[in-house]
Amino acid sequence: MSDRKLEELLKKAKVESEQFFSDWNYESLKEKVISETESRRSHRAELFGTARKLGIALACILVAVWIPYRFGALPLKTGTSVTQQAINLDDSKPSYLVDFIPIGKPDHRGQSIMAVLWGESPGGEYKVFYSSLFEDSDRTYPVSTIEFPGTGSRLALIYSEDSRQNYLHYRLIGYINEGIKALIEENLVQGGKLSIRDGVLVEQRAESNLGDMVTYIIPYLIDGKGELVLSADRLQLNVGEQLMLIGIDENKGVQFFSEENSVRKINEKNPEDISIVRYNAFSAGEDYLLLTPDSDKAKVKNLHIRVIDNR
Amino acid sequence: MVEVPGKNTDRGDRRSEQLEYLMRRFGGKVLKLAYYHIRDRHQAEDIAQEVFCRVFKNLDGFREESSYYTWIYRITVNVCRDYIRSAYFRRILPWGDPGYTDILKKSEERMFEAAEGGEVFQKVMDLPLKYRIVIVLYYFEELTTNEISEVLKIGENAVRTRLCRGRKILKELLVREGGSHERQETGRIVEKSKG
Repeated sequence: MSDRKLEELLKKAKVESEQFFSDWNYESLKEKVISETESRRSHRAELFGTARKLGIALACILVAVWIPYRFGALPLKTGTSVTQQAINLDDSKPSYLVDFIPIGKPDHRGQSIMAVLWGESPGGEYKVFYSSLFEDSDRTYPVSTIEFPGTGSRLALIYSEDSRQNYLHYRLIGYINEGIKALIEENLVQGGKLSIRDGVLVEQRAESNLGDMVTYIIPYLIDGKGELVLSADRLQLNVGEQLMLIGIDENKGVQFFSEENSVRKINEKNPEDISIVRYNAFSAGEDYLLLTPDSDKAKVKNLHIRVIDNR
Repeated sequence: MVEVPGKNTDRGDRRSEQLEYLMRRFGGKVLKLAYYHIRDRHQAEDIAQEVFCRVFKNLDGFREESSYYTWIYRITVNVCRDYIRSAYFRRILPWGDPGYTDILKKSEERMFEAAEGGEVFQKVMDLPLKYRIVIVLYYFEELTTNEISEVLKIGENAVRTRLCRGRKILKELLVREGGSHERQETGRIVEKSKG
């Protein structure tokens, strides 16, 4: 079919659509909206009255809370968000807000942090799309994202720290099966440090006998067209360091192949909707890791790996 | 820029006047855009209602950085996306988000409007959501690629890519299922070769 023919058919489709919508009555919509806005307005007026009463009650509660706080028994910020940040997990969807809310322990010794991801519901109200508790945390970090190039999709890295005991807790979250879930949930990472470099999440942790252990985490996904998309297509690592590929494959399946010149597969896991494959860099040199989706073997992707020996 | 009546009157009734005007001006367009997303008239009406409630709520905050037209369209797109993502919509559509190619395979199982106008219009509506919306905004609502990119909050290049890909899929659909269009064209080619 020629482009010209298609343009003609689209003009015809436009006429057909106008005919289809011609008998729709917009007046009833107008009446509904006016009655709905009126009802919301009177509801708001009621709310305003209630809010005044609540304000007075809240002032009393604040005084009641302030007294024990004044004597050092209660952390003031408990239950109130300490930071709020907007993040975008997908260009085609509205942004979300991440709140970190400190939660005091019943014995008032130490606190945890609840991370809450809010999104706007169709009714215009905010709903919780994801939440996770970071136990024994006293410090939060700004949320960073890892992008899948060309897709508009991102993963978000949320993390907090227990600075007294030098532990890090983190979550890597994103859309999986139309919901927001964690790809990685790590707690109590001793001496942990995290950074995102060129689409790679770098996790460093203290291992008792081996010194610091560095893992380079590269997420991938299979998009709606069946294309496998990696967040990075090249990586340099040191001998002894590890590479972890974590994929949102929603059980579509991906085969991994390397010539094992420099990296060697250690293990492979397939929890629900995701796949995790871990490689160890054992020798300096270059390697190519081939990732082939089961759904279309022609859509193979390369990860170029260079291993150096700086021990 | 659309000049909205009531802009200079007292604040009390001004918002209601503005809302009435905006509904008169854009009510039909919002309802259609919602239908293009959802393909169910009653749910499209619910969405349009929600859109104008949001418009009413945010009228004072509208900063005229964009036209009313793109502002209202953008609200509509956001409400539709939320609606599609909501558990309710996923429950009534057994195969989930209608944005995927499953729609093509399962068009015969559709729960949408029984008769969706003409044959070509129906094929456009059978396109995956992300291509369908770009095609209808461009060809039916006659928005420019720049306006579409503002409404959908995606880059203009992405709009052009989706238009191109949408046209390609539509061609395939028309050739695969709507034989009559292809037959006409093939007939013309045959005639030409005869000449």
